[in-house]
Amino acid sequence: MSRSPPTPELVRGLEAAINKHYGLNLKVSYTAAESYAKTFSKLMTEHKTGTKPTFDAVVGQAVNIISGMDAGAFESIQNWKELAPKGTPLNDQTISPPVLKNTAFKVADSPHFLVYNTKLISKADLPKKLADFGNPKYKGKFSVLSAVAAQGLALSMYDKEKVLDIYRSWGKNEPKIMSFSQGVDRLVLGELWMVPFTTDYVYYRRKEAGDPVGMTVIQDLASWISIYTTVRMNAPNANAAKLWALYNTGPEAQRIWEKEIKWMNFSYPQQSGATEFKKLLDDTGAKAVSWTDSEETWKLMRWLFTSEEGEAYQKRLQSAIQEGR
Amino acid sequence: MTRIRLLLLVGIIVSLLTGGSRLAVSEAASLKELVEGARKEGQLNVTLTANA
Repeated sequence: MSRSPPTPELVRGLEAAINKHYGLNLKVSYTAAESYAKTFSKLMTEHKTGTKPTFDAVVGQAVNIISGMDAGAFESIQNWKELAPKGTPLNDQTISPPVLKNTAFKVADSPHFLVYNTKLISKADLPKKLADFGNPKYKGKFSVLSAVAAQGLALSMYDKEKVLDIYRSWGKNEPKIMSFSQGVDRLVLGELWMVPFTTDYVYYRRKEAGDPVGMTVIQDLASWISIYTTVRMNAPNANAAKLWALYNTGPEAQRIWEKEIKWMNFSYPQQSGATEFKKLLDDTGAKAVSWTDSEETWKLMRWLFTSEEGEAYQKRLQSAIQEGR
Repeated sequence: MTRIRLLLLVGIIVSLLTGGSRLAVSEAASLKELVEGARKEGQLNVTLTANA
């Protein structure tokens, strides 16, 4: 089964499991939001205007969460390690990285690696490092995203001007500008050789359909994005929301997320994709890089996504990637 | 005079200590408190986004 958006079955499964675990009879209702950006924009508007939160808990990526954290829009669970379900890997810092200050708790990982058409290009002929995409032999043979969350992680590896230089070399190769999902569609049709920064679920969907797709790692930028649950400040059902966040870090919840919609949390080695992704990293010697890795990466992300200077840099980054300028 | 100052100092320290412990307790809810609170709430609204 391919990874899919959250479903009623997922929520009903989690609801039943939580109620059983804590001896409750909670009714869990959910909204399937269109995008993280819209959801967090609504959340921030409610928070800033003092409007009663219209939902208690939400999932999001670090780039979505940081503004809310800075504005005090989330409630922390300082003693979450004492309260998490038995079997939660408490020593794994990726469950709630220190930069998140005990306000966000991982439910899934989403590696953004390089997907390629195995019939059009061999693994040996693929770019190994970011700068290799500038090789003229790849001209017109790959697509890139217009958004910069995954590409921007290059700032954790190189200085700002070097990153622009690298991506200008990409832009000169005239990549197609589209979502990674659309890029992989074109790749399967034979129009593209490869799509960098594609999520694992797009890869699995195609692989399970029998399409000729392979996945590998860009050695100097194995972008790793995680999805976290947060509890909103002044949530009408704050206690239930905290139990939801805590329970979803645990092994039984992880089993349900994977069973129902194939969202995987690689802090649990038994999850089906964990071994494959670990091997990909080990084979290439690459290290997964995430915005939540350290205070330095967190500071970089805050600069890139919440400062005026960062927004201006994003435009330069997009211009470099898309137009080679 | 010295005794009064000493008592005053002890009073301040005791007040600070008990105030501090109340703060710690209120910030760190126990599982039992969360479960009882959730039981009263009876519901939960979550927002989940389509693609990870």
